[in-house]
Amino acid sequence: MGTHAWWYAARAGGMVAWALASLSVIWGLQLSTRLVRKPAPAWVLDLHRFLGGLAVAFTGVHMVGLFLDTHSNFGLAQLLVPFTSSWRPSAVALGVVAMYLLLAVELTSLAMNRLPRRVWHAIHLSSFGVFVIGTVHGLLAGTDATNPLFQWSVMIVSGVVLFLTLVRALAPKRAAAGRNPKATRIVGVI
Amino acid sequence: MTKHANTPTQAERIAALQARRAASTTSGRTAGKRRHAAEGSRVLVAGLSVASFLAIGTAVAVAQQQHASTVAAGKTTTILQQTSIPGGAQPVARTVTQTVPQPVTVTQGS
Repeated sequence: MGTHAWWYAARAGGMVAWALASLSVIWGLQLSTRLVRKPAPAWVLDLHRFLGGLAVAFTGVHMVGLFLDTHSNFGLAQLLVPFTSSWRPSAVALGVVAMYLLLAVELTSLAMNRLPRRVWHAIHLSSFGVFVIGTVHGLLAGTDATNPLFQWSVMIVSGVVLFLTLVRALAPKRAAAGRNPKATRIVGVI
Repeated sequence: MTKHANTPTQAERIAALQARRAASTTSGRTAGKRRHAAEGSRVLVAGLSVASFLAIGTAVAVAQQQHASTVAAGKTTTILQQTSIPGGAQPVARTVTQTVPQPVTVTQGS
């Protein structure tokens, strides 16, 4: 196990990062749809931000694991530049793109107060891209893509994200925020 | 103009907001440290994430080792079958000696 420890860390880190990013998307959609009215918007927003930060951290673990693993031959170029990997170049490139999008979403969220709202919102919407591209990356490049547990997780989470996205897209603008006056301020920036 | 007589001016509203903010940052909080709305949940989520990471890593490692031992056992069976063929046993057994020691014993014994 010792010689492959970084390889196992990379695989586990990738799966946890995907789960956290997906949960962050779901939390963000809950915040904007207010489909479940019980949790306070401030609580949902705080957890949404924390989940995004944790997703970045575990993406880092995934990449460090790949870099330090001596068997998979991933160098800095393969981790940072799309289509440079000799192993499943397209699938790995999707992971690189998802990582950059995730970083963009996270960094612009940290600098939200200094950015025009439209710019921040446009970049924030790419979190849907992070979810879709990250999921496809996991299914095509992931060693555990054939694992039934992972496949079922992907199906369930994708279904929830799709449902909440449809609710958000089809709901009248700002109707969700109008249900709760306290939510209006927070939803206004999402 | 009389319509706005009772409404607070912008400066008053800003002052009130600043007073509320100052009160909220000092009551029950240490100076300079922001309290998060979901502080308890943050700890729980972080703990669950680390636990999931360790559990998945261990499960993957165990599955990999089981798979490796199954493959090794399969190879041994195949090699044993190959070494039982008269005449063709010796070269195969020599190759196998480097990876799987069991067939060597069988070959030498037969």
